[in-house]
Amino acid sequence: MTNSLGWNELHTQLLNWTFSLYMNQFRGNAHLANQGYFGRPDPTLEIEQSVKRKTVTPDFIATDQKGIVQIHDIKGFERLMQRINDNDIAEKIEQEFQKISDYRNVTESSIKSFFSKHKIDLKNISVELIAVMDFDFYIRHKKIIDSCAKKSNVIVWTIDINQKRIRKHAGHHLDNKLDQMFKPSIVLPIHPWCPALVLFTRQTDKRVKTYHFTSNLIAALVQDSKNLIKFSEIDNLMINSTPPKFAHLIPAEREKEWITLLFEAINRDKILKKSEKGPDMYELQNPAILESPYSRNKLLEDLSRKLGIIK
Amino acid sequence: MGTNSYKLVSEEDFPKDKQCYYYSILCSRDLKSIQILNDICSRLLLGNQKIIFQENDEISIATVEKKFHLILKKIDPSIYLLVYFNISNVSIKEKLESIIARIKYITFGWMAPDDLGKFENYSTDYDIIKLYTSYDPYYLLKRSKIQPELQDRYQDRWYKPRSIEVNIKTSKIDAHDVLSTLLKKKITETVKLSFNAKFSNPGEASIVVDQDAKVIHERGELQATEKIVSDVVQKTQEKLKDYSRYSTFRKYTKLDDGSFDLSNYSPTQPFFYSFEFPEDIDEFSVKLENLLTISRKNLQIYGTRLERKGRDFSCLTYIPVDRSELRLTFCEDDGTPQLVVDPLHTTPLGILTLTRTLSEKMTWSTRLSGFYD
Repeated sequence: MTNSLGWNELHTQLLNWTFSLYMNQFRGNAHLANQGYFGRPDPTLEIEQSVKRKTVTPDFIATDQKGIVQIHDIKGFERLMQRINDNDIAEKIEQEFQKISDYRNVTESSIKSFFSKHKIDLKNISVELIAVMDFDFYIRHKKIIDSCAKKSNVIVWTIDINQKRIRKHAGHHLDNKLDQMFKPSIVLPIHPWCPALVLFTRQTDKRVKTYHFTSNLIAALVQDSKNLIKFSEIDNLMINSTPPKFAHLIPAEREKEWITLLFEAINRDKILKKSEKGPDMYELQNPAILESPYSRNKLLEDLSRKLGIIK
Repeated sequence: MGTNSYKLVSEEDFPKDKQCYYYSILCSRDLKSIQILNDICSRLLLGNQKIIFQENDEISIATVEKKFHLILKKIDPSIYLLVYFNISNVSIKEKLESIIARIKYITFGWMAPDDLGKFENYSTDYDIIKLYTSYDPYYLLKRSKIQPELQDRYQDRWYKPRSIEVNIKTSKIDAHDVLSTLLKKKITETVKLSFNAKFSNPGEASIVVDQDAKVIHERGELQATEKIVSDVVQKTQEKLKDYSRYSTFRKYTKLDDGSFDLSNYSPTQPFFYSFEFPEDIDEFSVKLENLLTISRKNLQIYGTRLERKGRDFSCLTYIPVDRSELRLTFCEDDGTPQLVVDPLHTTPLGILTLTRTLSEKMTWSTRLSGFYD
């Protein structure tokens, strides 16, 4: 059966496996953390092109804490995987590599500012770019990927979820030790089966976000036997749920996500409604949920069916 | 066993002719005992009767004069001991128990039949074992003539437990047989063990222990009962400690910009339940899936089915007490059915709730093991 986390939510899985390499707690399997590397998901950076400044949001960023900075992109290739029969796949792959190349123009100040909040002080920065993709996808399009990678000087990592391996296929790391490490491949931790280091990322499939948001909201209301929630309480509730949702993002960005998810829960999924008890207060459309496990099951299964997560 | 006593009830307060109830309450939040006692009392809806609260260290006391006493002691961050006895002739015991069952962040403790059996050591010449069983609503639903599409409408009917009670009075030797054999044939859902305990000091008492880890002092010396209470609490503590190796640990640090950084993470250890030879695996699998997803009234758990292929299925199951979120996969390993648990989040309390639910609703032969034990 399928690997857990979301349901086949490949992007979040690949991101978690990447993240696991940089987490000290994985001991023997924290290959990059053991080399002094530190990495975190979903940074907000800036690029400078001619005189314009633009915000970019790569999937992952890491540093050896001396000067090497790695920027990882995952989502682009996961999106392409769903379009196997596309005739213009080669062109699409080229475009993705072009997009990654843009990260070369990320401003030093935005990188420094991201790491400084983690108490890491960087002096001279040199950036290397890494495209992370599913192993099978790479094998299928090996030729075109290799040539794009070479042309744009991007390193390619593939993650083989079944074999629990990360491999490097193209490019050279600035740090020679890493190139050595990848010969032949890096073994991922067998356990846990799903790292769940970060449950929601910016790029996590919307449907998975909606499902987990709803199930957590219901779990919290049930635990407190309370059919009322203020908008201002939602952030706290999601941060205090385990694993926390979007905890690694800044409050303003989290709030935007909650607004979207709440709006859908009210208008599209008909789970909540505005309460008459006060402004910005919400209650369950079906209060039976608080007492009846059957109603909770029905709501969650109906929702996942509607979202297309389960058949 | 029986080395210490809590001495929670003073002999002057306690009317000699009354029963005294000791409930082990497990809580998923690290609260002060007065907070929980307040919550319980506010739900008792006593109208204009005045409740007097006293608070002292980890013990809090609520008294309605000439009516009842409630004493709550915090044993450790997840275990509280609630003592109740009434002074008048009006008992609030039933109401109290239903209120505790409805507060979702707390739950009763659990004494599995094997644990209960160990209390026989205290008994004298005879034991009384009370067995109680109720029909399984799914057993009825599965055999009903109502068309599947109409079952939603009639679901309430299947959620009303229909029960019969069986009382068996038996000698101590047979008592063990009853506990170990009959129970494993899943005859019972509720088990009580009543016995007389005799200590050289403080003395003698007639005591009932049930599967909710509730201890009833029926008569005799309170302190003798409290020795048994401390054993029951200790058993629960041991159980929770045993489950703690399967639970998750995450620590987050708040950064200057308001985001949180995962600073420490100890991954979950996946574990599994195995069940000894259910008679009909197909039916077992359907019943198990229903239990873990649709659940039943008065049960904590519920979930979403993800997938089913033949007998094998997977689902996401939630446990409100600690907001556990588990991915469960049912499959067969060499003919032995297994339920593999992959926790996204859980605590010993959630594992205890799941283990108890499976043991009581599926089969007493439910066994929990870790993959790396």
